[in-house]
Amino acid sequence: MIRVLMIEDDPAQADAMRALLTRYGDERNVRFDVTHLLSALEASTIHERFELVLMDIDLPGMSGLEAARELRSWDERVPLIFVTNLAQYAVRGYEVDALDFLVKPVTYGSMSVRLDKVMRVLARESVSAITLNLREGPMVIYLSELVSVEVAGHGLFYRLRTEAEPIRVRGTLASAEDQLSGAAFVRVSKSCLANMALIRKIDGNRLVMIDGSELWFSRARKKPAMERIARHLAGRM
Amino acid sequence: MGGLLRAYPGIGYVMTIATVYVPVWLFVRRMPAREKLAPRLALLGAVHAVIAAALVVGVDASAAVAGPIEAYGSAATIITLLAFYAALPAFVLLVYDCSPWDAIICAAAGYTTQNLASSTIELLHMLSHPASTAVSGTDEFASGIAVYALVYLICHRLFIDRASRAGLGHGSRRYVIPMVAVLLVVIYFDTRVKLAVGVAGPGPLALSLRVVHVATCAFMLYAEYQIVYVGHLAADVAAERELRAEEERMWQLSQRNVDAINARVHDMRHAVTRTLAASGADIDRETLAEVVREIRVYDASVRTGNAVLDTVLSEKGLVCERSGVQLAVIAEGATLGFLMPADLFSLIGGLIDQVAAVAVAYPDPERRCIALSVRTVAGMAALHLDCPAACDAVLDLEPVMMVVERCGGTLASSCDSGMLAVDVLLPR
Repeated sequence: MIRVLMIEDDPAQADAMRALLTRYGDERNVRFDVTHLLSALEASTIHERFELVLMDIDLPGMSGLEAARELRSWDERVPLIFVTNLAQYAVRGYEVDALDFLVKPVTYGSMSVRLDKVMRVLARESVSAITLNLREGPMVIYLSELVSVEVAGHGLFYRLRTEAEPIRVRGTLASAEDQLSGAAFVRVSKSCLANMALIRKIDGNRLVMIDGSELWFSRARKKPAMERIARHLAGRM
Repeated sequence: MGGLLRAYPGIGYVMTIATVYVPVWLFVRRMPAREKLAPRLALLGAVHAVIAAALVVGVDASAAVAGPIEAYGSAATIITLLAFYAALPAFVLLVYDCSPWDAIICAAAGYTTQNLASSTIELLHMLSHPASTAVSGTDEFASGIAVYALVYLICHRLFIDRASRAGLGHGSRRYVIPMVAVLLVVIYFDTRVKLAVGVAGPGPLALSLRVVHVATCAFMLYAEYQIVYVGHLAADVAAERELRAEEERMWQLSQRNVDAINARVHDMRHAVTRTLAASGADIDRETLAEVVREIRVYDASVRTGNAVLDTVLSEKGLVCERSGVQLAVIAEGATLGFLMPADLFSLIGGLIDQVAAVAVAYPDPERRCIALSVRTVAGMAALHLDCPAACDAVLDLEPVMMVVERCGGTLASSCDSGMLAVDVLLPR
């Protein structure tokens, strides 16, 4: 069962999208539980967890973008798809980490393609944390906090954006890379893995991360790393 | 081996010819071979057998009369060698399908490389045997082969491989003839230096002459490389300039087309709306209303804040519509404001064309849709296109890659779970 929050002020449009969801569900053997709201203001009062949010950009009162910001304040991860008119471009959905967009009139083709993407994202998002075996005992690290993993000497240093000092663990970068496979991490050099979701800026041969730390590409790894980063950064809406 | 060479100095010249073919082959090996190769190679072998016999007999006869040193500098020897080197391009043309200019360049460069290696051996011999009047190659056969191999390897890595990859034939032809003339002088200079060492004996002058010869050969090789490689770059630049001019012309044409379409559609919509508003007119309102809705689809105006992007997207949107492909775009126009119009036209137009070609071929007509997003991420312009596709679909992204590489960006294409995606990051 996938819980869907649909915020659409046009009842006809909402019914049409509900029908498309039903058709998709029948074809893929997936059940959707759709909660429909008419305005972003109503949505701001609901703090339930959903697996998917379909939001019209052009809502009365609070706009879809503002509503999305409000949503992100308490749910950073739910896949969010904006629904917008053909004439409305330059949607700044990326500011709220939207997964994708649908252009009205929404056809089954475009809806099914986006829903396929949502299904893949939902399957992937099971990897959200890793466990490190420290001397004091196991420690869970959320990947959304992990900026980078670097190797120096015989130690692995896990840099978290919430900690001033990195966490030191014995191990190899290859083992860390295995542990983080399936997550949005990229090897930028022989001794460093970077969290692509926490890149603030790419400046020539260096990555500036969200915590201000800088990571440098090695010459040999720059091209494959940049391709991976391109797929991640450009591909997420 | 040293004894054999002393007894028959002509064999040394035959070996010299053989060593010339190694670098020449390194230059020409990427060129296509001619048809009926076997008889050509047989003819080449026969010709070389005659040359080898002439050298062995002629040089040895000259050595028997005038002495081995004089044999090196005799007119007969020099003329035979020069004739061989002059015929070398013809030998290349006999086997490889290339232009005469390419053959001359390869032969000249190959000989220069051989001369550099040979002169290096002579120099090392003079440094290690300061009192010797003998030329090398007789007593130090094994070390001579090693020096040849080392010099050829270095030249291959530094010049030959790059030049042959760049493609011969782009070099400025006007420099080839003077280059060949200088090369002939260098050949003559080499034989005279050997003669001087043999006759006048070793010493600082002879050593200096040999150093000058080595330096001259190295410079000649570098000059040949510059002629070929820079010529290749110049040809690339010229081709790209032509392409950009064509793209500039295309996007201006597209802009005019889109403006014309917009004007006509605008007029049509107003005319229909006026008709619908007319009272008492006996008209099929339902049909006219449908026409207005259809016209709206062809209202090609797109507003992203970037006029060039608007033009490209409007045009491509119409093309996709006619092909039954839905193009959905979310674009922040200012993101691509740093691109020249021709580059933006090539980039976006090229990407949409290639992805649309794949989308059109998708078996389910309902899922023939392309999503394009253009935005700024991590300080870079990020473009993403995707469409449902079979993962054996082929994209020709070469023209797009030219723009991406020129801007110092990255392009990545992938196909996963039935979705084709192309992602581009460009530094702003």
